[in-house]
Amino acid sequence: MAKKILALVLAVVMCATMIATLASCGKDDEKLGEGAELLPRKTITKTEGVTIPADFKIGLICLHDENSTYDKNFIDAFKQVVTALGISSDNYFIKTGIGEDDTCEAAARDLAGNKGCNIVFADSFGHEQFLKKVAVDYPQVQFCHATGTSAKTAGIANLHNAFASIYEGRYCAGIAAGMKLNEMINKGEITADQAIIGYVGAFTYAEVVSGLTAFFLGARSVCESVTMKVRFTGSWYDQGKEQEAASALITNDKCVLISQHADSLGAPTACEQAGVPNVSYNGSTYSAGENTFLISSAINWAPYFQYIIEQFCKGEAIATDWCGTIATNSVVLSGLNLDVIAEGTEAKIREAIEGFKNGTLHVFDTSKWTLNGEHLTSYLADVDGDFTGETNVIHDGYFDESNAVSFRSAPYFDIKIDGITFLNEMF
Amino acid sequence: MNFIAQFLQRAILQGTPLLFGATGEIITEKSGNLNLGIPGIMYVGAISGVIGGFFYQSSVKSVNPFLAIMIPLLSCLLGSLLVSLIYSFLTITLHANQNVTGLALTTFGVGFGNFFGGSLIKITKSEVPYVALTKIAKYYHSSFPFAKKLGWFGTLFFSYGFLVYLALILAIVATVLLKKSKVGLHLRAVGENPATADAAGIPVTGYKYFATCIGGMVAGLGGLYFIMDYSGGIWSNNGFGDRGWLAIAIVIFAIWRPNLAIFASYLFGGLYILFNYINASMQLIPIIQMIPYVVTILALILTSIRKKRENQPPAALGQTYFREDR
Repeated sequence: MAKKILALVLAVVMCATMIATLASCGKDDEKLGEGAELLPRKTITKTEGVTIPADFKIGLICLHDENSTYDKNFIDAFKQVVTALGISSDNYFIKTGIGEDDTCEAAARDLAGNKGCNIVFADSFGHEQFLKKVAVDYPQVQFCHATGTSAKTAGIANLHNAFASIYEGRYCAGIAAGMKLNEMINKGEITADQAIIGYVGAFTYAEVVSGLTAFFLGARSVCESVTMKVRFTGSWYDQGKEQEAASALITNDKCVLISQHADSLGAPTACEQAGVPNVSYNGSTYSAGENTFLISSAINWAPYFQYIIEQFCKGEAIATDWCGTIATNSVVLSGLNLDVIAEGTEAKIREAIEGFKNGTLHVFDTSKWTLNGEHLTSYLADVDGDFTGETNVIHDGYFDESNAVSFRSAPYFDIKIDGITFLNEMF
Repeated sequence: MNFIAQFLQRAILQGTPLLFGATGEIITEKSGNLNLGIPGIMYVGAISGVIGGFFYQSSVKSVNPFLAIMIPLLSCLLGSLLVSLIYSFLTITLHANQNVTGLALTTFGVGFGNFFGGSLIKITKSEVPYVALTKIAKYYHSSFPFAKKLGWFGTLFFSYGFLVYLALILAIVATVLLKKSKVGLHLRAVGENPATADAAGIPVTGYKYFATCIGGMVAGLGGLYFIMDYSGGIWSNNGFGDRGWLAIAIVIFAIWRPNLAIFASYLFGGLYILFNYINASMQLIPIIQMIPYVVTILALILTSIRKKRENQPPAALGQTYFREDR
């Protein structure tokens, strides 16, 4: 009997919820929408004087397929470049779902040996060790690898690494966050010391720490009182974990703005549901968060694809390590959500972009951050990938992140600076 | 108090898809059909709802709340029903092995979801691969407007979309029907000993079809809930994860009782998010998330040792019934 009554009560509650839902409907407000991209992906045009031979072939190895946020970024850029350079569909190959295991070796051998590719590109960190094995057996083929760390130390002439100064994009996105916090403070929605950003990170790798620190410094460049709390999920893609981490940051850790470095839509969804501003990554998520999305930054791999193809076709060497910048269009920024951003945001971001372009602004300027209350003058970073710091990367008053010429392209900024609290990391 | 209420609220939100899945699987298993295709059916339920919702949202300028709810809901039920019918036809009519059929359907369901999900993503031409049904999902996510004013009480009891309450209702109704009604008695008889039930004049095939299809449709709602309510209308491939398997684990943990599945689902949901509330280090997250499975194994061991008759699975679970068998 009790169960029947409970079921009845719940049925009434459910019906009431549905009625409340239907009653709450109204016309959608007119929205200004997303503005023009601040740093758009430029159209690829073939460099004058470069001829792509009819028999030139290139292969792309992807960890997942184009339904993965991470891999789609590579696949789209790859297709954009091969189309623009007039490479026929018979001469380019995309292998998707290639794990970081010996299937990668098999895929690379197939592309280099059977398919006759001149260049083989792999997109995931764990692919590198397998590319190294294959590169030795095919010295005439160029093996290029995104996010890798060992091209400089492996001593394999046809192995190359690449990355981009995405920390500059993160810094710009951080400015949008800081401006929004200022607006919230000025409106009296929060006090200055309540300007707490929440950040959902995948792992505690330097790549993530570098990105979140750059984002924080961007926010602090305009909002002095900001602090940040970080939760890691231990996964690059887990919608539930990312959404729950973001929800916990909002409800328990009292964060009033969220950003993330993980690949699912978990954090933006949590923000949209809670009405908390969100700074996204890897592309615009405006349509998933029309009321909370601020801006997004991403790496554009098209300039690197164009670079390696044209270098090969010109008969010139591909750099052992290469880091794209804002100047090479390797760092892109989405449009701003005009309904949510604070006034003056675009001007501030454009100012920073100019600073990066002319070299007057450095994200990791050591006068702008401290470690245990101290401004660093030197720091031994792990540049050779052996997990022990050996190279001083601070010079001329800034931490020289992703310097592919002097150090390496993959991030090595792993300092936990003051102002950022890591809630669940453990070393 | 707020902290506990917020934790419990998130646990309930996480546990709801599990509750739909577990209730559906219990109803199915009570008929003697071990449907390991539930994870796949939940995927199909989700993507069917998304397909219906997608075409509705893209075809109208202004969304009608009633249709926004009904079109994905009916699409989900239809998709889940069709896959359940495939399972039923193969295992009940053609006497195929239930385990093999179920596992095959799970593989099929996940692939089906990702294929059509990927196709929709291509249609949207989105820079980031997802389908956003936010305009219609808000009607799934809407809760009582006064929930926020009631503090922790409102958070805990009135802050959910209607599907959360529906999951609870279905679990309770299933408990009552299975225990107290004639249909429930017949269904249990079919699951315990189909030959005897058959001899007593109970239409075994009809009951098996009925329970498997209803169970599949209930489980499919779990997929729909995850996309339209929990995820705010965002479909990403593989976003649903392994929740279907957790639902099956709950069936064992709850010793085939839907009312216990309510508690078990929320417990599993709580364990899924616990790491955020105790600030567990990143390395401990997999261990915490392993607990539900460990608890399920323990429940299996305990029920096996104690051998209490009422805590055992249906006696004919997993067995194909063929009237002419001797």
